[in-house]
Amino acid sequence: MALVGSFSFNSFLFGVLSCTGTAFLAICLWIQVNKENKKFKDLAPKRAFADFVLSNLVFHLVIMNFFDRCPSPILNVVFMSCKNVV
Amino acid sequence: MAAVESLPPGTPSAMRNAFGTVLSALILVLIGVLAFSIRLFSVIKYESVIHEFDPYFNYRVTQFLSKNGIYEFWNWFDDRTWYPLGRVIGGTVYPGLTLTAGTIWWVLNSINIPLSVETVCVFTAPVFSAFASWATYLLTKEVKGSGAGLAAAALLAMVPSYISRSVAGSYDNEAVAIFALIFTFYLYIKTLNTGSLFYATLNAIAYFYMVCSWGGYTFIINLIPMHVLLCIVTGRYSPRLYIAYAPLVVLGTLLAALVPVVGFNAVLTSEHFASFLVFIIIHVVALVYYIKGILTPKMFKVAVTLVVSIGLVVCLIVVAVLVALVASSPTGGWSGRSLSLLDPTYASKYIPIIASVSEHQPPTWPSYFMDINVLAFLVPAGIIACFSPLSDASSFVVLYIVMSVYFSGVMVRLMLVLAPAACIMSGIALSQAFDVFTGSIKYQLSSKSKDNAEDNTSTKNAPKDDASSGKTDKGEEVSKERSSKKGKKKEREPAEKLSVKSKIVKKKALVLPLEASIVALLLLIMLGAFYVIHCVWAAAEAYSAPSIVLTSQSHDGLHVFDDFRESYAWLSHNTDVDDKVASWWDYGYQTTAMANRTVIVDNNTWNNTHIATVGTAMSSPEKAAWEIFNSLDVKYVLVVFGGVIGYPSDDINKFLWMVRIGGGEFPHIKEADYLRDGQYRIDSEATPTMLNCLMYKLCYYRFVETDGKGYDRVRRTEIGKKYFKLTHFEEVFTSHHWMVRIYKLKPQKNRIRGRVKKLKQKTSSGVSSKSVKKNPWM
Repeated sequence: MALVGSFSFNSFLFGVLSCTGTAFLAICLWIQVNKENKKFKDLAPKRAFADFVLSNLVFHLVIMNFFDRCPSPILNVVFMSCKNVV
Repeated sequence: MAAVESLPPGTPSAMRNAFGTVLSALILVLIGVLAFSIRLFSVIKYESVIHEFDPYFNYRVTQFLSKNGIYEFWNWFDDRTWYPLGRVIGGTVYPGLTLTAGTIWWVLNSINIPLSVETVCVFTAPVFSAFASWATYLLTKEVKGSGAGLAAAALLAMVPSYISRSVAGSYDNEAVAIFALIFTFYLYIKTLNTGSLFYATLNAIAYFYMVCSWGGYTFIINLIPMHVLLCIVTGRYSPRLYIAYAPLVVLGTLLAALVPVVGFNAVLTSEHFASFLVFIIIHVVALVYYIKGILTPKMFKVAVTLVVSIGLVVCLIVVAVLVALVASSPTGGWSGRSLSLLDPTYASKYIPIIASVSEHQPPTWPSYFMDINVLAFLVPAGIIACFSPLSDASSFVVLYIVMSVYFSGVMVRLMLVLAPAACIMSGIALSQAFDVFTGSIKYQLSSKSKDNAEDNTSTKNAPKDDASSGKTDKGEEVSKERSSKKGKKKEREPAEKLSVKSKIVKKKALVLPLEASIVALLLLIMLGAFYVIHCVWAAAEAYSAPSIVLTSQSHDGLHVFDDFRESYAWLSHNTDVDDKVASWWDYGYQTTAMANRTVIVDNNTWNNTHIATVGTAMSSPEKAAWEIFNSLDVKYVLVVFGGVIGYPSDDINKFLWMVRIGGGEFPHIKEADYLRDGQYRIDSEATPTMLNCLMYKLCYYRFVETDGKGYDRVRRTEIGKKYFKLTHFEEVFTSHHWMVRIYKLKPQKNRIRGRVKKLKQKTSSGVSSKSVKKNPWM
């Protein structure tokens, strides 16, 4: 497994997981907001959306830590400054 | 407890609820104080010192963190240990504990409370055990209600198994990890009960804290998928289950991959595959339910056949790939420690280092009673109580206790994971029992007063009824008792049918006789009293020894044996900063932390060959040992010897592991050479290999001068070889009670007589002796 541990595995992981992770969080939002779902009748849609935003925030904060190296120098500068904020 | 929000203030039930809430809060504060104070025995009996071996490493890392900051900590390469290999601390340590203590120290110092790092380290464990008991309250409240929660929290504050790993001074990973474990489970159950994505996010963050703290996080990431699978299989699939599980897997795996120790292991090793498998399964199930809701039954059947046929092909391909991947690694993808949990005989066959740690042995039956005491027979009652009614949360705690009982049977160290589960179950059992008994007493007393009231009112109304009720007044209690026992209530109440309310008839199914309830209540309270007495005794006598300072009571008072610290202080004052010290791996952490000298091997035991090298040196004769140590740049050798005072965990008792581990790597060390009749002996019956090896010589050099006969108090015999000189080592330090002995390697002589002759003989006989496996150092 030549890909393991190198920066390309990092970026592969980041790519796959950010797409799938956002998809699953959206499924959770859909479950909660869907009017046909009797169990979630008393959950206000605004609360469900707020939870969705929070979980996405945490998720992307985590994902951002996976770029420590980036091929393009311009993007690198952008991400490095983001990381200093974090 | 009933919900408080919807009740208007001032009504009696709202007042009762408010009173109940205040009372619970007060009880929880007291439980926290109890959990903190019961762990302070060692600070009172000895002093505020760090115990054992592993905590010294954590203390050293925390010192480094507090001095140099967090970026240096992440990038720290330690060259003071595992000489000449070094150790990447940033990448191989679980940072949770040190970061927590470092943060607490930094916060306190920034608000000008000048606590030293050592004080913070010593008291971290008791503080977090208070938090852990509050987390247990929250968890059990989600399962069964706040009465059970309070009982479980009180039990966890005192359970000896948890005390043993979290006394003041035991600054080890478990101190924080058990709190993280219970808190993660609480958030999981809360998400399961409410279905809110907010708690799911919090759950993932708590799981991240757990991954940071302890290698035992694999227990969580395997238990939760097992529970999800159980729920699906028993038909309890619901959208809340999906929300509880899917974000945890995605977010949790990513967060776990962020911790440097785990890294890509989070997606590559077999310990995590269970979570991915169940992730796929839960999506399949969710999809099936969704499609079932959309399609008509006929279309559904067509869709099922289509999907199954395609799916089988895809599945087979994926499974083939997975099997190839797993089979390509010799352990099937599992790490050595996890494999030894699944197959308890694995470690003793293949990895003697894991088998040699005393904490990794299976526990004995008495240790169960010592560690969880009364809870051992309250747990089955709790399991039964969980089944009535069975909810998602109670099925989870049942699964938790079953799994933890299995693992605690494999390794003594994992009794610690059993403790919270046992406390939760026992709390539930106790709470249900108290409910039944107090309910019966309340009912019996109220029905007694009701009988009296009705007797008074009915005397004027119906003489017949009065007569019957008057006659059977006393018999009423007896008949009620008998009836509740036999269940034939309705037949025996001709006169009372009109006055008895219907709901009391329903409640009568659980009513026990008054005297029995009172006696049972008293017995339960006495049970609790015995538990408390045992826990306090265990904390004070059994689990408070710092093991770096020993005491013993004798007829002429208290003796204190402070030899370890005396020798480490000698080392730090009388040797150069760059001198290397060789000892057995047990003392590595203490030597680097207290004596501040470079060591060859330490308690991390990550490199088996290096440890085997030291073991071989200890088992070889003096010259060979000198060669080995010289090749490692060693200047001083440290041995621990308990023969003068009777200290049983000294190096001679550990010698068999040195031989085994050394012999595992270097075949010229054969265990049979050291055994006489299958036993290691050091008296006159010992084998000549044993009497000539370095460990024997370093331990017993000049030993005969102590009492004239050389009587070893631990082995209870006189030693075999009493008068001998050391040729390659010289003694530089022996502590007050002869517990620690330090030797220096003698420098090589400039000229050795007869050396030229030996070389000539070697070259002539070199060709003929090729078949014999030679000692690599000669």
